[in-house]
Amino acid sequence: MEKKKDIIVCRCEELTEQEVRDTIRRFNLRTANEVKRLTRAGMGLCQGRTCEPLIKRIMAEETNRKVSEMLPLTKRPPTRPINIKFLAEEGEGEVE
Amino acid sequence: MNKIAEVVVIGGGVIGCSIAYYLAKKGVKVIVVEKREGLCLGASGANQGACPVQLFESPVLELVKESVKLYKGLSEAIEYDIEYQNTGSLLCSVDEEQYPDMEKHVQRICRSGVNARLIEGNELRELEPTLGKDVIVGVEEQDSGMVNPFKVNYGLAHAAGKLGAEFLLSAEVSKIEINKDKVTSVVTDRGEIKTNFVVNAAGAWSPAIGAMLGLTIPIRPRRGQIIVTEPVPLNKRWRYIIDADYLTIAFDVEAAEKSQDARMKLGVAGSYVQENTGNWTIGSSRDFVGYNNQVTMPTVKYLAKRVIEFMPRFKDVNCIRTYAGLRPFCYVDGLPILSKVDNAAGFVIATGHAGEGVALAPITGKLISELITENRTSLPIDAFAFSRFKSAKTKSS
Amino acid sequence: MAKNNQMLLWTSKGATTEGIPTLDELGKSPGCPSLQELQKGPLAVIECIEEIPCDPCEAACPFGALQIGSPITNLPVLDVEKCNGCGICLSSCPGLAIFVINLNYSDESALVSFPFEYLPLPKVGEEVSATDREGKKVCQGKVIGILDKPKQDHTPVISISIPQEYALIVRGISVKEANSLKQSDSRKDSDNGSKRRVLTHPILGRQQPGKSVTITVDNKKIKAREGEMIIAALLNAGTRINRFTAKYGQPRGLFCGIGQCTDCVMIVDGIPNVRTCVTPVKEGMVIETQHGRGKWG
Repeated sequence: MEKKKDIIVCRCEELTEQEVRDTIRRFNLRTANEVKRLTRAGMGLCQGRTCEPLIKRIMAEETNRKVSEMLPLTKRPPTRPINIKFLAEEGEGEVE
Repeated sequence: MNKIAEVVVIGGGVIGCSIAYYLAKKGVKVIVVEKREGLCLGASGANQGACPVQLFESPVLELVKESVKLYKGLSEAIEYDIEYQNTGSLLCSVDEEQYPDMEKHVQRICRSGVNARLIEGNELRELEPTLGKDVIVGVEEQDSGMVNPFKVNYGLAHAAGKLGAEFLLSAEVSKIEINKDKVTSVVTDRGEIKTNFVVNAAGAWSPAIGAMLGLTIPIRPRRGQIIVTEPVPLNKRWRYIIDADYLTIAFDVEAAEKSQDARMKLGVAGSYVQENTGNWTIGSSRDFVGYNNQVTMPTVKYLAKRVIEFMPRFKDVNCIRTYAGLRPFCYVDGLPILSKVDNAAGFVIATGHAGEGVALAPITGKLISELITENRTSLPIDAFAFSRFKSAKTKSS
Repeated sequence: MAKNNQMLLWTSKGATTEGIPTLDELGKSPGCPSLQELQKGPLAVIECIEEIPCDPCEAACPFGALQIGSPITNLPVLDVEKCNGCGICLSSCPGLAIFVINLNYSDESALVSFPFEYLPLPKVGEEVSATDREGKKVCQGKVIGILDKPKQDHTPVISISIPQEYALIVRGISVKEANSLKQSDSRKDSDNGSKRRVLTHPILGRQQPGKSVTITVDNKKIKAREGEMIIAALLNAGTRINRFTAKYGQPRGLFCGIGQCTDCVMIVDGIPNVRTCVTPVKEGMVIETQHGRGKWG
């Protein structure tokens, strides 16, 4: 279907489903983290909150696996955007 | 499933894939073995994508200059846009006492043929309003650039694949077979590969590979952490800004260890790169914590504090993510290791690119391919020989 | 004693396969009373079969009829002696898994009470289509009561009478097309010539807009209410577009409304990328449509 090409799966980075599928096929990708690095899906302002389930489903279809078999995107702090000035003010902590 | 190759490259990062590409270009049958499920998941997937020229001295400087030249034509050569940009770089200082060092620095790099000049604080701020009033002086250099490291990694791999290279993923090397001091095969958990040459491009994990032949490769993982910001308007002139402290902290390991300053102890020296999308990656830090790539709050704190000193506007910019990677750092002299080894014919080491992996990827690929196929390299690499480590020993077969 | 009709049963593939518990799974749960126990009078039925860390129902019951204890992942245990079917616990369950069944409401009918979080709410006396756990219509029913007190925190409880044999099956009613917000959430006073104002939010709760304040949006002054989110003031003023994307310049506006998707971000007081759906207005705020990355303030 023509329209399918224009479906946006990553709203923040404005990526279409076709672009994501093309990248997966071209490079034979098998992990969501690779898709993220190559397409920027999940790197936008919302950090994958909207697109991660879609990317995983597309990935599962393209690599013939179940969504539950795939590793999710790596999760890192912060849990929500935080001003750099607050990171700078954080109390004197011990070096871990 | 057993295979045969002329060269097995261990490691699917920028270095491994670059070597595979340049070898495949010469018609060599290469198999790249990567223990993870995908490529570009080590330090190659956790850096800033920067190719700074002014930070280097001989003998690395010559390699970097050549590498940047290769980058300029790479997108066309591999038919894939790696987003190379000649952004230049600005090394700057917020410490008056560093002024004489900055003067020495610009003199040194100009003498090495790098296109650079010293700029005073006020002029800096006029050219780049984002810089704060604490910035005293800077050295602008024109040859540095930035690339998209993921596209470099995959682009090279894909191009290598089109030329006949094979990639074996989720394949961890367990043994390297030797017969009469000559490499004969590589054993992975996905089968054995008969080969004459093995390239150790496993980055932070290269010591484990070396140990399979009784070699002590003096590399330790040096963790670096990064703050990623939300997209903000592009800087006017410099999108690659480096803290003058970088020169001490990155290259003088003892300075960091001996210092009483909390920031120096964590190896934090500013390295700020703004991508096309407007996001900044705010680095950089150094500590030795084994294979731990977690992000830690004290380091994040000092990264945040430091960037505000250089660009005060960042106080109100949001951090949307952090990440960390493990650089393969040679703890003897901090230089890469690019050479064959005595007593194990066919074993080639190509690692130790700590903080310069992306910058040196193209030239490393080219030089190692020359080393293997012609036994001579177009640039001298004696400074990077494994034999410089006196304690290196090999297991006799 | 009422006529004992043969209770209708159901089959399903089970909670982990289909999301609908089987008869056996429910039978094994200590929160579900047996048919004999239900014959004696109205009782709560807690159709909770997965061990997750959750316990608001235990605290909600004033008679101590629900016990979870430690660890918090225990399934709730119903004490049928203590439970009188008052239904207070229905609004406390985040999974909407608690019901009250009164098997012998009349000779022919049972009364089923369930939590219902859709708008519009039906009216008492209305004929409704009663649905099973899958949402399929199975029979007709009549709305006998609707409870929607503030203490229930936006989880009204509806009680319907249905043919007795459906008492183990019916757990809801079909949702009608919701009419516009005007019907249930309108206010008589209008700012900016519009009656539409967001008054309830699934995460932020009931909005209590305060006194009138003035904010500037793209150099135009609009009226807002202190304490409401910026996006609510914008919607009231008829503004649906918050920004234009960086790559294709496409318009974006409210999407998720809960601070996740970042489609609603605008430049607020000179700072770009501010999520207007979770940022409250302040008197004198200056808001601009963000184009791409915006600009430094």
